Amino acid sequence: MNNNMSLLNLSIAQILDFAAPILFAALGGVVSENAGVVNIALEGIMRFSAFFGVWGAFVSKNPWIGLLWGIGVGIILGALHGYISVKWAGDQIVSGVAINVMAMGIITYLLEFVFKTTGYSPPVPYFGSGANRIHIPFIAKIPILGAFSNLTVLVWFSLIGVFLIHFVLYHTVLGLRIRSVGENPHAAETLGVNVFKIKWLATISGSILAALGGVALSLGTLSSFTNAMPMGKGFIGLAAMIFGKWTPIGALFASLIFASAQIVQMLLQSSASGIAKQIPLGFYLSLPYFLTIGALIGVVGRAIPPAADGIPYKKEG
Amino acid sequence: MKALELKNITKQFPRVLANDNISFSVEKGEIFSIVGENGAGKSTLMKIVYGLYTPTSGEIYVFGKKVEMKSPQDAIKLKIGMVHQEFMLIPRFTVTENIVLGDEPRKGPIFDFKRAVNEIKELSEKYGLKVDPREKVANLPVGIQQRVEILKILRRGAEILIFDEPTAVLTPEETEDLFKTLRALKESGKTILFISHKLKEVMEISDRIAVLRRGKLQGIVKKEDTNERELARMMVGRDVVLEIPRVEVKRGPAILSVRDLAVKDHRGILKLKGVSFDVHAGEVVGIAGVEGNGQAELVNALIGFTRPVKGTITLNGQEMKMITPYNVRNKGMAYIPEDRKRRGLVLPFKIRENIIMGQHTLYPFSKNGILNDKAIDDFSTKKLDEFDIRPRDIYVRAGNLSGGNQQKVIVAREMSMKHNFLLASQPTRGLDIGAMEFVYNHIIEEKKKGVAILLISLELSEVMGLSDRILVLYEGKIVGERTPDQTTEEELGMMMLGITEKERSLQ
Amino acid sequence: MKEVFKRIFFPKREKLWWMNILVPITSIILALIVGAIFIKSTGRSPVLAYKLLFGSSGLFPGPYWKNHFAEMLLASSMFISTGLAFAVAAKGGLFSIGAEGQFLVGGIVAAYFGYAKPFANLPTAVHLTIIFIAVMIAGGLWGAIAGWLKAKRGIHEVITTIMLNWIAIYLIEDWLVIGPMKANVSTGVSGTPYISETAKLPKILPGTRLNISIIIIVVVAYLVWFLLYRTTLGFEIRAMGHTLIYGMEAPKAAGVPVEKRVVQTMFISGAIAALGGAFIILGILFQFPPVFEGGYGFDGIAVSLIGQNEPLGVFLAGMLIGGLRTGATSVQLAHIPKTFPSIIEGLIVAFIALQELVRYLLTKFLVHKKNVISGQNPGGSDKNSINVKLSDGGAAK
Repeated sequence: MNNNMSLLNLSIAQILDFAAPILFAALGGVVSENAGVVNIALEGIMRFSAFFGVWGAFVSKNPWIGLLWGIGVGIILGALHGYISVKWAGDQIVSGVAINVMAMGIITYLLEFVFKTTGYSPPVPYFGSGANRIHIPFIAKIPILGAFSNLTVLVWFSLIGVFLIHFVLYHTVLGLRIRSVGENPHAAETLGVNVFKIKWLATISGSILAALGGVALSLGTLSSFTNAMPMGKGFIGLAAMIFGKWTPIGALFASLIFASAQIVQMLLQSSASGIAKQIPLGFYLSLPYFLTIGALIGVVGRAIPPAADGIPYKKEG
Repeated sequence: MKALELKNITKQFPRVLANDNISFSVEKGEIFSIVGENGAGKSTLMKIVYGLYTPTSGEIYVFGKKVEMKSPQDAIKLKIGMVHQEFMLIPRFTVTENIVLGDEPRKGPIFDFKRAVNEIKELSEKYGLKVDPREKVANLPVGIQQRVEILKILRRGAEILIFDEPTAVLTPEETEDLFKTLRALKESGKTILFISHKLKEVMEISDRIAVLRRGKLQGIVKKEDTNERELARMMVGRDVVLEIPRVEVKRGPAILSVRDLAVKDHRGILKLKGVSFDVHAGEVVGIAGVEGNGQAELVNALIGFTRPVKGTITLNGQEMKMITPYNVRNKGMAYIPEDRKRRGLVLPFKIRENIIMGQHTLYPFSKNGILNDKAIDDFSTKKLDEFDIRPRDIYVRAGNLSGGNQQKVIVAREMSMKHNFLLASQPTRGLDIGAMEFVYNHIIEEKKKGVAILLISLELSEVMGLSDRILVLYEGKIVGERTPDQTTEEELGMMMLGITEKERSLQ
Repeated sequence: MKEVFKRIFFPKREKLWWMNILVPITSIILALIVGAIFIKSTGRSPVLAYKLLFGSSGLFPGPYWKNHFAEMLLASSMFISTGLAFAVAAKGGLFSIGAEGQFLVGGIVAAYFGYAKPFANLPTAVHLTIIFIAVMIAGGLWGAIAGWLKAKRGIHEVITTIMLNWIAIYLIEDWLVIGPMKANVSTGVSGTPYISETAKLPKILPGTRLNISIIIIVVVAYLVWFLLYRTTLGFEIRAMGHTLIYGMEAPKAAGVPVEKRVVQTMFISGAIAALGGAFIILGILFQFPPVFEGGYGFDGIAVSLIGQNEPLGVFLAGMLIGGLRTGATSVQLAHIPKTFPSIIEGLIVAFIALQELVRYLLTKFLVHKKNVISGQNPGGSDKNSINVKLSDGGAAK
């Protein structure tokens, strides 16, 4: 009896861990796109921040410094994307692709340059270590709640982030204006909303969130950087954003669903029953993408992005 | 007291003098209308008053004070508000959110939605503009959406309200409601500028009316001193007379038959509300009407860009279901589009490429899918000469040609394709006299060859000069049919503006 | 003098055609300069590094040139294929990121038809023909899915192609290769079985690995050029690409079946990208391995951007990137990591992306100056010619 509960809680905790990077990326997309700025560089930003987070932690022997480094690089990349997309009303897709391409090359190089390896960086102090986790021992035995008894700071940040962003977007003046800019920037402009400022803010905030996702990946439950990172998590985050209909809470659910798919698969593989074992890993891994395409096709009426999403904003006359 | 005064306002654009030395004043509490044809300069003038444009020269006085406005924000501060023709609303947001955006009631950073709702309730009460503050704008009918726009500017303290073609999208009932609102606003001391080309409405609601024509102010009249016929005459006049030769051609069988055709526009509003007509071989049928009365939708349905809501289109005896541009062209239709840059040409393509577009899959321009450059070059060179296109260089990019030459390329292209029906939609828009003459001559040539021609034009003189039969389109329906010798431009003008026969005879 | 200025900068014919060459060349030079600064800052010698890099890239004659040359061409053929894939789609106004997945689809199909028993002993020419046909159909279909979703549902191809990439990666690497297509355990082979001898691409340069893939891709590049500029289909595709901002109304009104063409363009794009996958399997790996190092698809985007989305440019850019990759191993002699060339590549793309900005600014500046010189805007007179007064450029302030 006890074992099962622990297993349940453990699984949930694992799902939360797994979902955190995806969720951060999704939230980054949500914030940015609600202001009308498309950012497909989430993947590239995560790669940068995952690496810089580890580097920072390595240099300072402190994961929190690593976190700051990660955020820092997120701000820089956000500014770059913002410069091209917002200031110059450039093609947001090209800008995003450029960042992704650079991320591949530059980080591989830095990995070798800094750590003299092409595979894994050496282990560094990370948020997943016992000392750095948030302990809430008295709920540990309670089913479901118990899953929250030993999570990392980053996972907590991601969850808090969901509600924080939801609150800002839907209950504050700033959020109203952000959404107006994403829907009809010209209307917003005529009412005195500073469209450019809002787009900049959203772009950089989105990048910071994506950067947090990268750090969550390398410094969360793992403690080093792998050259394969972020292994598509950035794109899954994008998918979660779309699947979650561009809302923070939707992004949360989508991320949990996507994360669950893999955890479920791992569980089933290790369990005794034969049928579940038969379903190939590839099916689980590709499920998020199938779901997203399905969402885009089947629910055209519902899965609508902000009306002016991706459209470069040029002032009139 | 003068709410607004314009002195010698002039606005010069690179190629066009949009406003030419316009001066007038508007009294507080007055409903002042500005009328004029498309292109007369009303829009530009209003954008100046609203702070979107700066005048090239001239002065503006608001409540006696000379002002300079660099943006709509300045205008708002001066208590000027504008209700645009295309609403500046966010469909996903509620009425309240739309109205308070940019000036939200707040508790610190938090948006005080409840307080905003109450504010809207009060405002709505005060001006008698009933709205549901919590409803999403997307779910509202157009008339109510307009009320939201009005409340938006009232909330910011607008004393001078500008309405740009407000009834273009309203039903007759909604128009009545709007007028009630305008009268109420006038009662409470607001000054209203009403821009429109619908003379009947202008006569109903205004105190005074200013008429613009080709950028100049034709005159200002008090409602009591004028009537629709007068206004139409002031609006419509002509300065250059283009003699179009009358050619008699024996009419053949009906090539195009349209029955009961109804079409929506891109916003989903029903713009063409059921028209029926035929076009015969060797005849020019002209559709006269002010822009926005369903012409664009008629064209879109005929060319296959929009699926009609109901009705049939029969071309050369075959009923066309599921029209695409490809199959109507196959069935013998040629099309001169109203927007040559968007719909007529691929601007980065050279003349030689544009001139064969549409028949590029045919011999001799291509065989088995492979283009035959020599044939294309020969054809293009021939056409350049035949149509006097300048510069005489088939390698010039279409985007570098003048408007007239661009149109010539399109005409050359369309005429050389096998067709017996020509849809000419505003074929002389933006062209100078010479180019216009050229187009007219070619239409007459076509007519002589027995082509059935449907001419859709906003230029009355053009319609009168070219057509054998004229159909007047007003609010999506055909309100009259005439032959040129049975009518005058004035009569047509009035029909185009919605004045019925009875009303005409009373004046 | 004014005339000369006008003629160079505002030819009525090719609009600033020299920009197409200037942009990539300056980007490359700038990237190399930044790279040199980079190297210098780590205390190594840029001159030595570049000498090694380019010396062993196979692009320039030098010691051991034969082998480097061969390797360079081998690598290039794959970059050119994914580059052409992107270019074709781009010409049609479509932003396809799907080369990565289409590449893999091509690879797995090539592997299958390469090792499958029924085909095993056919003469090489026949065997390869069958394989390539299958590969192109498979890749084409993979691309066409995204095309169909765009045409029928209006879903942006960037999203769908990215999704399809990942679906391909996971279904291939985490299902097919370790499941139905897994080589028999007894053979000791991990990944798919090895392809039969008759499926291997014939070698053409003795003493090296160089095979006919480079010849095939040269032919394909020519065919792409031919398609785009000599056929009616290419004509229509380009018309669509040019009018993307106008909703492709002009070609549509002229009768071009735009929806169909979108799907067809994506099919062609996918088929070409898939060829690259076939090249790597049939010419280098001879099986689909359990761990596959991808990236050719994304590199193809960079290649195409550098090559200005033109077949010849893509070909040259592909060779450049192929050369950089080949020279990568030798760079280590100067104590510089072999990933350095891919950073150069990234920098080139970054500069190209920024150059778009420069080009945009430059064009705007030149157009403004043109208005000043000639006193009028291109694009024609207005019917109000009676009232026209020429001003000195730009809307009145």
